[in-house]
Amino acid sequence: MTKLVVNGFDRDVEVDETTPLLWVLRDVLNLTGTKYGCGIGACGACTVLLDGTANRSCSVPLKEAAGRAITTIEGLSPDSSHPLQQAWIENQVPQCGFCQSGMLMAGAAALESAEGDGSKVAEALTNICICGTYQRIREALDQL
Amino acid sequence: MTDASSDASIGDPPSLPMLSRRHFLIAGAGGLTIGVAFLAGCESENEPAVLRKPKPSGKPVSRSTTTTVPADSTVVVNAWVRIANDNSVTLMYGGSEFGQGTMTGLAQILAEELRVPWESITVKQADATPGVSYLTGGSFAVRSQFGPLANAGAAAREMLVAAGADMLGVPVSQCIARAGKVLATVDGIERSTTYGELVTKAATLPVPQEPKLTDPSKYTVIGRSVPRVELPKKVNGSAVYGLDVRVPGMVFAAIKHAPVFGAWLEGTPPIPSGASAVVPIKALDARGAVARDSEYAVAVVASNTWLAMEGCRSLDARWNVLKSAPLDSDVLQAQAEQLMAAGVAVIAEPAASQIQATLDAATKSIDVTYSVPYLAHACMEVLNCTVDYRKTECEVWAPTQSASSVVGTVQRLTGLDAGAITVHTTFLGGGLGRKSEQDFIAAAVQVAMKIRKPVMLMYPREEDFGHDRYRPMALVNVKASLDGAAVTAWKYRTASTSILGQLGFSASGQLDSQAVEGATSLPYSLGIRQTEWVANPAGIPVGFWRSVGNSINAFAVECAIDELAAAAGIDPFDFRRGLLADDARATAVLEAADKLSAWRTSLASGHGWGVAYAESFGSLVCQVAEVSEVTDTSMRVNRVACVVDCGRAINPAAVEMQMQGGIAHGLSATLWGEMKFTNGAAAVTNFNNHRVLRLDEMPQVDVEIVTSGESLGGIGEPGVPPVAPAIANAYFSATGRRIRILPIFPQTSS
Repeated sequence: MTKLVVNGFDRDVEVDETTPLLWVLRDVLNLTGTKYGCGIGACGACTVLLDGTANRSCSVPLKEAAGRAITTIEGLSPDSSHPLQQAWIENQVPQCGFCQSGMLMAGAAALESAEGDGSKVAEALTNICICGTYQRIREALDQL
Repeated sequence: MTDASSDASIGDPPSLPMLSRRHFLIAGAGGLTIGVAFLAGCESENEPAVLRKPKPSGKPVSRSTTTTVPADSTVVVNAWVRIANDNSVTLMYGGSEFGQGTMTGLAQILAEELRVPWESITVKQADATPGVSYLTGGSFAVRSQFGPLANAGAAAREMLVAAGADMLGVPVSQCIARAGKVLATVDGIERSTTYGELVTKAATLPVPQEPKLTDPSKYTVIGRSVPRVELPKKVNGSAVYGLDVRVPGMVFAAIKHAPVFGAWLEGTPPIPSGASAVVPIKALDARGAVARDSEYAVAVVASNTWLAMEGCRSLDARWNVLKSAPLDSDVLQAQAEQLMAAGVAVIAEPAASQIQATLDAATKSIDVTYSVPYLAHACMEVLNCTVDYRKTECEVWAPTQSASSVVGTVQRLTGLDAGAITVHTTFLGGGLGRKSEQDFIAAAVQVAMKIRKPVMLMYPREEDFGHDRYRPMALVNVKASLDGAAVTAWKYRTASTSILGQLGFSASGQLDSQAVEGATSLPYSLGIRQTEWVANPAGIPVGFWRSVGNSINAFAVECAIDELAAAAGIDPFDFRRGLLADDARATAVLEAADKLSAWRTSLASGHGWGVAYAESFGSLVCQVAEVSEVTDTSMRVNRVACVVDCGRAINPAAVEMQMQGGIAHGLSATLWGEMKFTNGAAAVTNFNNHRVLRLDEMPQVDVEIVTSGESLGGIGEPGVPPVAPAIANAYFSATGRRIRILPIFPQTSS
């Protein structure tokens, strides 16, 4: 049994501790907001926060997440009130939306360390969006 | 404009019989419902109806509420729009939403004609429902839905106004409908009644056959950039995509295909450790039937996706490689070149007179060959499908572009009646044409039938890349001659694999319209013109990729036009102006692009600009790109000015988004996109060797919408075709070197 703290709640999971955190979140805890895109840490769709730092959860074995504060898109804010979520709505950023959980989580971590400077967040965002929402992401970040 | 064939760009034939559509307004418990009635097998509106088996949601309609149904029919009506007596309005959405904004656009159309606030409309995803569901492809959703939806909304409004006039005791002519109410001034006092109070009465009134539609100059909702209705779910993780479907008791499966194309499974492999089952997957033939001895893949079932994927990795499967020569990019290229040189062509547009003599006699001419590669779709959400097969019924959840095709696929595999099959369309993490195909659906159904538990089948990313239906590779040769600024002859020859042919929809020797879309019916004055296509029988599976043939042909056409302009010594804009002089609508788009890209006349040294114009899916698009820092391995695309005439924008912000998105998508393909094949297998397997545009590489895209008021054009795809030639022409402007082979910067070698 592995003890996790997800979005502030204690969760015990019984799967092999080499299982990537992504699949524990999705298939064991049913937190499906965190997305599978590539499985090799190349696209960023699975980004979550571990103790406030952005991590690609497809490449984090469960045992490395144990005991750390895990934040997923479901826990970014209780009511979509995080500044990035609000900016995303205001600027109508998502298209298909599949990459946006990861985009928002990576952005949230960067925003924290950039002390609110949107242009620094843009530099940190290396996630892939096939729909090409980048221009609206830039506009949303500029507006912060 | 665009030929009719492109309207059916995702050329899936209906899996149900041809149906004639009619809409009805009926009284139901507590509301007024606009239904869609279906009469199977009717060729014309007046022929007798054959009753379709009712869907569970269908409601029988009494004859008195209908005016166009043959008197001896009982008809099933599927709910489409519902106005309830609590004033709520619900629109059942029959398409697939993957970011185009169609859910919102359709709500705007309904709100406009019904005279209700657009926010008051709840848009609900419909399960596969005859008459409500439609194929989301060919940039056709709003174009095909506008008329029926506007008419239905206007008819309902007129009935509500008639009911309101009766209730208020005034003539209809004194009533107006506004904000979900019928209003009239009686004895100097304004009185009103809500739609909710009127629905029961309205439903008993005759249905107007030709309701008066709103004059476009009076639109208040159509043409506004209202926020997209589904977006709040897409910023908090609550939007349910196919991969997010959770069903009690479900298990998870991952697919493992044969390591090379054209290999079949030799016996069922043992169940790998950590997995619970192994299910061989059979291919469907071109018409959708299970083909014998055709086990081309295996599904490994486990309690979670990770264990299923691990099971695939450790699977000890033996494969029978049937084909002698493995598919290889070098061989495929050589075969295509051979076909270009000597293959028998199907003539798409025959020359009106002797073309060769004109070409031969010209003092200035071009003879150039372009090459575009196979392309993977690489949707952010990999292919997946969840199926609960319960012997007498079957329930499916899928990120599909064609829910009614899924019903057909399930019918063929299970033998169940359509009425016993429920198909839920989820949000799609990208579709791009790939998710109109049925292979991933059929595979999931086979797994569910075998293990008799609800199961999600997913493609690990490597399988999604490796077993795509790729955009076909193509070669194009253009021979054209000039007399001053005039083109006197244009001979266009292309070789590519027929998508419709592989699907079994077009016969050998027949023209595949999609192979030449964007090459025929060109708006330019090109003198004597001939367009021909050589079918390439290569065995690589091909499919519909955003804008289909247009993505290939616009590149060749617009690069060739640019080469002609250079040969004539004329500015590329002026040259196109001359060729489009007879086409006022195209000229207006070109002129707007000229103004929008005024920056191009004052570029710094080392910068270049290129223009391209393309018509597709009923829309006219001109793009001007600016590039700089060109090296052998990279360049910077700084900006793209984009002008689009789609007739009229229902939601301008959605149009802008689709242009930006199409440009980003087309740019990735132009710069780096390519699928190569080595020893019978795909060389690109994941995003680490499939480069796509990132945030810091996104050019500034400025979009201007020209409102011509002409027929509605599509929006999802038309932003893609002009990108590649605009970039290639800009590259020429910066370097003096032509780009005739895509991608510009290949990432893989084979």
